[in-house]
Amino acid sequence: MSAPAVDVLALFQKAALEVSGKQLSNLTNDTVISKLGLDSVAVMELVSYFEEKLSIRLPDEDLASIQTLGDLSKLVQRQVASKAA
Amino acid sequence: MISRALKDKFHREYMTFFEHAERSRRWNLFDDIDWEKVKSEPRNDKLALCAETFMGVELYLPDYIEGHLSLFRDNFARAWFGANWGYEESKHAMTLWQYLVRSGHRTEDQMRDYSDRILSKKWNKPFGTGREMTAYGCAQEMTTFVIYKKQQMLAEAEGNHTLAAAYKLIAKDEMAHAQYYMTIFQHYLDDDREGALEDLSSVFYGFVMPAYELVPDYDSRVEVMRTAGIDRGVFLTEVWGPVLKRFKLTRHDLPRPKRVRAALATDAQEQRAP
Repeated sequence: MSAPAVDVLALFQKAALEVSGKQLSNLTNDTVISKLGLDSVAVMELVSYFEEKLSIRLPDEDLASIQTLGDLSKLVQRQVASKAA
Repeated sequence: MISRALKDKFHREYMTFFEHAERSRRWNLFDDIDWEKVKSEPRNDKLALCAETFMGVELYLPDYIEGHLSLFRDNFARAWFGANWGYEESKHAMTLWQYLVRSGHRTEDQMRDYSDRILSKKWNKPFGTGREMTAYGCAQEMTTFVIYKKQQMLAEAEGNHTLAAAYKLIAKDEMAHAQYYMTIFQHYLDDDREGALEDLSSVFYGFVMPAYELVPDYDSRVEVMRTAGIDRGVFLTEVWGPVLKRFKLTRHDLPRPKRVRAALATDAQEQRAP
């Protein structure tokens, strides 16, 4: 059975608001994370939120190379799927 | 208040650090850099701007020392480390100052004006306890090491061998400082693992490099500073990676950041609400 897809864009928007107090809009898979006005530390906080919320672990070596929300989405879906397998 | 046993360990570590520094790491900015060569090397305004910015960060030295001693005034080993660290960092600022003037990128007057502008602002330490500031020292010194090594390689590649030689000497000191802080923090972990991990998490998720935002004309420096190459990837793999590895930890061993815990608690409350 495959794991249900996670709406990473919606979750990212929610996490940014709840954790960093930042209202983000018009997010797409092509949105470049470094252009969102979040510093590296804030992004890591959001990653931590994702991990706890979805009970997954995102490897640092994979996080180091993500550029867009689409990259993050793929990484999250992969980890969610491997957890469900 | 730390225990006598922990204090004794800090003392032992400082003696080891100091002996190594005295026997094999000391260098002399007047004799150990071949300043004669610098005038024949290509002018490079970008590298000079980076050097000036890093020197500016180093110039907040009085505030760094004040912050350090405010936490460790009554602890011989930690206070003496602060004094030794201050000497070494003062030399780093003076080395970059010498480079900028001797290479002709800046005049002595420009440097004095710049230092006056720097010292007109004050840096405040980002964390309140000695253990947190020790964790901060691990990451801050490692970040500085990574920045200077990258600048060294850039300078070398662009034919600025004198600047590369200066960065090489400075980077060696920064790595020694990072190693010292990590050794001390390991003792904190051994003494109170839960509390030390909590502090490490606070620092990991609250880390900012010191004083960058205080440096004059920061916004106009940012673009050029990107050549320093510190982004999220570098921060994770080249700064925190080695620091956490030294403690046999990964990011996943750290408690969740406080703001995430608060957000998750709010989520849980909302889900429970009718």
